[in-house]
Amino acid sequence: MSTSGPAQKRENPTGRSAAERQAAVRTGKSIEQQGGPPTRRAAGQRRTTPKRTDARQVADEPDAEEALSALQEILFGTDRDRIQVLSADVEQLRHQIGDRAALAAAVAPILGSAIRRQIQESRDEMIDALYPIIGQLVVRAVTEAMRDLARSIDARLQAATDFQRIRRRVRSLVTGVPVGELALRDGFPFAVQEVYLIHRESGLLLWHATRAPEPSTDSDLVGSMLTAIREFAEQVLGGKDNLQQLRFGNRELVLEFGRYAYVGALIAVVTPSDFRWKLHRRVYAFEKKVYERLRRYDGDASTLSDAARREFEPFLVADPALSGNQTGQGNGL
Amino acid sequence: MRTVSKKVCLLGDFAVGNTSFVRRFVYDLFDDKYISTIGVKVSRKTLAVPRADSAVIELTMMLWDLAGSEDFSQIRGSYMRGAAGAILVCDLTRPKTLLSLESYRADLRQVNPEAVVVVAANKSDSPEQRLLLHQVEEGIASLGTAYFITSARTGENVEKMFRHLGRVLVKS
Repeated sequence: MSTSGPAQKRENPTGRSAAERQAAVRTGKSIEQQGGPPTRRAAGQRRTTPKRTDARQVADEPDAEEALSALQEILFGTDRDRIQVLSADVEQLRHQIGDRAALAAAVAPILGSAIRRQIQESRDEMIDALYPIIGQLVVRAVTEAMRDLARSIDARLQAATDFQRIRRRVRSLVTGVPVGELALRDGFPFAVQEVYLIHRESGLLLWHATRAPEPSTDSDLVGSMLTAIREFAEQVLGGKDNLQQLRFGNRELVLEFGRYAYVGALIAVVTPSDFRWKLHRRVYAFEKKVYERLRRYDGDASTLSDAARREFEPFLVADPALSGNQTGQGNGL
Repeated sequence: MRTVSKKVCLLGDFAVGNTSFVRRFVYDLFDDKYISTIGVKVSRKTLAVPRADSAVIELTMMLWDLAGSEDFSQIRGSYMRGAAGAILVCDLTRPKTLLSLESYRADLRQVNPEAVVVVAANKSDSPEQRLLLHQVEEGIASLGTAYFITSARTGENVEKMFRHLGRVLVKS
């Protein structure tokens, strides 16, 4: 809101700018002493004159107030600004502490490095502190895994035919491994999750199957990159067909080679000892069926898909004894 | 529609722009870091290619973008195995990259004598162009192959080049 006339005059009776007034306060001189234009006071009477009229005193008061506020601004302005910033920070902190989600978001970025540093500096203390939690988790996980294994063995034993029992007994006699241990080994969870059949020279994907509900559209790229990695490993480490498996986490990719094609089977958990041999037999059988088409492969994979499906799709079929268990006992091959 | 896949190599000196072709004009799944680590990255370009008998073939080119640096010269040959075609890329701002094409073609022919080759003289948009058209023509004449003056940045002739290669691949 703006005012005019007498009110304005009251606010700035000297007619000087704010900068001039502040300069006067800073130097301790009046504007007249600084050589500024004459004011009513300079023209009419001196500042040191002891006797003043009441009107003159009233006129001087606003001047003093302004000078005082300017002085305050100079002395405390910076501090006031700083206090305002600090108040805002305190308010924000109060909000973050009160709001758990905001607090978590603020602390999260530094938590990882803080824990890492603490582990580096005082490993034993950290182990002591975490042991009750981690120990319990490990016990629970192992118990669960053992329970799954027991269930798997039970199912397998129930499903085993007399012939399989006799075969296991014979294997036990030949190898000296107890029947129970052989049953345990056979009972390890195992599943083929994906099969890639790849043209050996070009890396082109011939056929692909997966247990996933929606097959990936990038399997051809994966097949080619897998071939590139295989070529790289053979070139760097020497030899041919030496890259036989890639392991990552609890999954592994088992590779088996034919003359013109090779197969990559992505397996979860533990690969049975005779799996590679089964895979090799299938690659051999596939190549035998489509030998000429493979030898003169022109990029049209549709001519090979039927043969590929017949040979490799059974790997993806779960054991009926454990149907519904994705990582259950593999297949009846 | 009949579907056919072919392996195609992208060959050229370091920084000629073959990776830019891949980034902008084809389906790219893997990180570029594979080029500097194992010396290759595979991408895919799918085209519908009409044939002389009016049938249309869906052609999938598996593009093997090979590192141009010396570090991978030993392994490059094995990456070229089984390629039905190759795009040789040179940089119009660096005449030396045109001279290298002959050696890339020789390496390719060694493993795939029948492979189809096209040349992409790239970076036509660059104001620093130092190669003139007749110089490019002279340089490529010995290769006896089709060439395209391309710009991976503006897209000039890039699709045209892929289409030409696709037609030749399907025919061969």
